Amino acid sequence: MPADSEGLPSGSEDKVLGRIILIQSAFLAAAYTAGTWLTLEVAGASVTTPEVMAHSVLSAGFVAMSGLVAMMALIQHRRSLFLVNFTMFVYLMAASVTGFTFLGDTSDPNKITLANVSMMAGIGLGMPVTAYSLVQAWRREDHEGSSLVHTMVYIALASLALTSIAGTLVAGFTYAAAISLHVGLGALTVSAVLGVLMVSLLETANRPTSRTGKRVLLSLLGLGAASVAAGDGVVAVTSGGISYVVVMAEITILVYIFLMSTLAAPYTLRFTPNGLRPRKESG
Amino acid sequence: MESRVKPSLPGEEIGTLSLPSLRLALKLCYANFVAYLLLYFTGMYINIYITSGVNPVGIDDPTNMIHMILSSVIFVITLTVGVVGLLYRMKKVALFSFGAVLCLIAATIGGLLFLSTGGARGSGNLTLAGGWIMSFLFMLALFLSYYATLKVMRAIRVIEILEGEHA
Repeated sequence: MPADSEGLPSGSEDKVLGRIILIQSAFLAAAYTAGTWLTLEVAGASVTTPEVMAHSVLSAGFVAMSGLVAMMALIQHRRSLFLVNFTMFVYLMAASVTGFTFLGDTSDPNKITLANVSMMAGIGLGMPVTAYSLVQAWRREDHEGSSLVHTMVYIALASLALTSIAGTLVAGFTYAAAISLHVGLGALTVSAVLGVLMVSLLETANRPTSRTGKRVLLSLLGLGAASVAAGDGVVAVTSGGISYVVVMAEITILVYIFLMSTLAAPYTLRFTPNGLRPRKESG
Repeated sequence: MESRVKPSLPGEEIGTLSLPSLRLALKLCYANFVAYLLLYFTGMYINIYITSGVNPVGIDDPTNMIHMILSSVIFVITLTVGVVGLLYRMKKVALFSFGAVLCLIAATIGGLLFLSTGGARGSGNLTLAGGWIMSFLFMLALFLSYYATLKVMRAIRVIEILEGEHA
């Protein structure tokens, strides 16, 4: 079996790092979901509130996985991967301080706003960073090179992140300005996800394989989720119901999950006696 | 990518990681000990100057926040060393590091128990138990990380000697 510079079978490092990044993404999605629920549905949070504990554990998992990806990248001499993940790790540590400050006094509106915005910015930073990390980790094994789909997914995730941050600003800052920004960025996100679908379709027309076919399906699902979230946002603004805001925020994470799956499309996860292994599909 | 076979020695666990990467892993281990030292300083500061055994410490106390961030840094570095041991076939490094990771998780639960039940030694038996669990398990984690570091150091030394012989 051919070996790489570390004496491991070719691609083993990439596969393992890719799996760690997928776990990091899962923690990001779960921390976001729990955090949104906590912000919108739970009153009188404290250290011992179950929702706070769940959010804390999931956020800690995301921070720990970001640190692990950064350190593994350092040991594997992947400079860009190390830099983006280490920067995010440091930022997330700083954002956690705002969470601790909020838990010390849960009645101060300034502390609530600061905690919400800084944490949502952490999630927002995490979305394109995890996507970039996944592409970088698997690129060596994939032999695919840079694809236009990757670039479109980065743009879509960056606009999704900015939309989420602007949505958080609605509660704490000037309503009209924040909601206009949120709606504008939301429209940009839907357009960018549509762009991912279009590029995937063009790629499939040019080179029809199971990989490109999966990308079309997943980006279509992402577009569907983005559209439902946008529609829900319109209902929330017109009817004023907080439950619509909760649904909109929770559906947002589906867009992230489908876009990340679009990047991971060449792989399917299967259970084997040796654990969860990504399997590269032919084509 | 170029294939390179490392020299091996029966009975020595040198793993499959290259020498420069092993040296980086050792630097991470050293950084971990610095974090442990700062963790000890902040913990003692809270114990002696903030609570004095009587007053409660809040989660938003600046020293407490530094203490928690340091413990997160220690967790990440220990987890990384454990994954490196697992991935690059250094069984003992992985074993000691993952043992330390388990200790750190239990110690964090102890710390949260300490904070949520009062935050001072005099707050009750549950708070005291939380404090003891935290202190004892952090020390055990330090001990296990120390052994993992020794194994990394030994692997580096053995590879250096073997490469010197092969040169």
